[in-house]
Amino acid sequence: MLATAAFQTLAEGKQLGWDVRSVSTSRVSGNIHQGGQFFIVSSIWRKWITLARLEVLVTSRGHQKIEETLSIVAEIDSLLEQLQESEVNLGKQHEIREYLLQFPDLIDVIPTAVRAALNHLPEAHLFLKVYHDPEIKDQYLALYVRVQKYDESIVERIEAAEKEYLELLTDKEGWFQLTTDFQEVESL
Amino acid sequence: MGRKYRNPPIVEAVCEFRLTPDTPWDLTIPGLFFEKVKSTFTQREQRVIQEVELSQEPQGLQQQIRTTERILLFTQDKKMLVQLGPRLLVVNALKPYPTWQRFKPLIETAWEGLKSVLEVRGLQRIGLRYINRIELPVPVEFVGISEYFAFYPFVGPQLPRNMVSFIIGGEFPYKEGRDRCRVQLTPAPDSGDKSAFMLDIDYFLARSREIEVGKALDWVEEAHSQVEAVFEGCITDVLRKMFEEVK
Repeated sequence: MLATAAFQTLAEGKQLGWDVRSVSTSRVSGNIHQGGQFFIVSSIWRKWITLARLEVLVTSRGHQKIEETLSIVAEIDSLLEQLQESEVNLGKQHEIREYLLQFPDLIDVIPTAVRAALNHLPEAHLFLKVYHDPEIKDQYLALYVRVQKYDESIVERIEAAEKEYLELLTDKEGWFQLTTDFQEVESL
Repeated sequence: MGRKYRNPPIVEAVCEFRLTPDTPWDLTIPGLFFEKVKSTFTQREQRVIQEVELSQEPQGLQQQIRTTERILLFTQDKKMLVQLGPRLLVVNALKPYPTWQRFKPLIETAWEGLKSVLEVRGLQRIGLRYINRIELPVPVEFVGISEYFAFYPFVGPQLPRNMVSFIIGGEFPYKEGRDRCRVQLTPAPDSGDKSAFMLDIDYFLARSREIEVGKALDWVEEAHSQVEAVFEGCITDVLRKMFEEVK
């Protein structure tokens, strides 16, 4: 009954025009759900419903075109939500949001990089944060790879993953780095 | 003219034009459009977008997926961009908000640029949306939110005082229902040890084709005035002081 009530409320919300949005192909293919279809409800509803519930919401409507995300802020929100669902650990989220707002052209790079990292290091735990250089005034987005046992192949595999997204960074103002800090997985 | 603030909470402003389906569109338009606006929006990127259309038919759920391309054109500093897709033009301004006096000319440039390369037959939707992130200097219990906002959830006396989260939204009609303004207030994600809230104000044309193509920019100007009024209606003097009004 509770679920039904939730659907009714959401359906009513949709009839009132609350946003239901899809995400770009590049983002969909870039996350760990391997190309599954994602429907992103803008953040006001997102945290309250699961994907399964949302499907019911959508089918409860007659003919419905799902609109794409037009706001960069909303895109960043859904990207971070998807990264969390994909078990990427996030550092200070407000710093990541600020960085992506400053360099919005990096938004599309991240899912590709995450996918590449998991392709080459399937056992890895990933940790995304804004890295602040202690010596010069510089910062960039860093995706850290942590594994249970480090061996000689890790740098090689990181470099192989890098090759899959490096050209996407051409002409970007911001920077994104895939790396490892050789820390233990448990420290995440 | 609305109030001006030294520290406005705007994280993004979005102006959107959706053209009616009878407006002709072909693959040459993005390139032609770029030629018109490239002195302002100098950097070009391309994205592939999936549009999903679902319909409940007698035989079950029907799903159609279309792939379209969208170009993104950024200003040199990447603080403003134009998104152009089939029958869709969006102009985004990211923080720091450049003021309406600087944002509106970019909307004009993009809109006029588009009109010069295709025959716009009608407007299905126009929208002007402002997303604000309002950070308070001290952690605030939701029950104390009325000190800062004039748009907030009402919690009856028999309900618990400690709420961990909330969503509040409303849609207000304007111009006899031709336009609507959707207002949403939620706690900001990952506020850390501060209290932060997202105030999202989206003013849009609710009735397709009710604005003539030639009057689109007048509509945008009017929409901006309404958004300003709604924003002021959502906050209290405590926040105005925090934002530091410029007289």
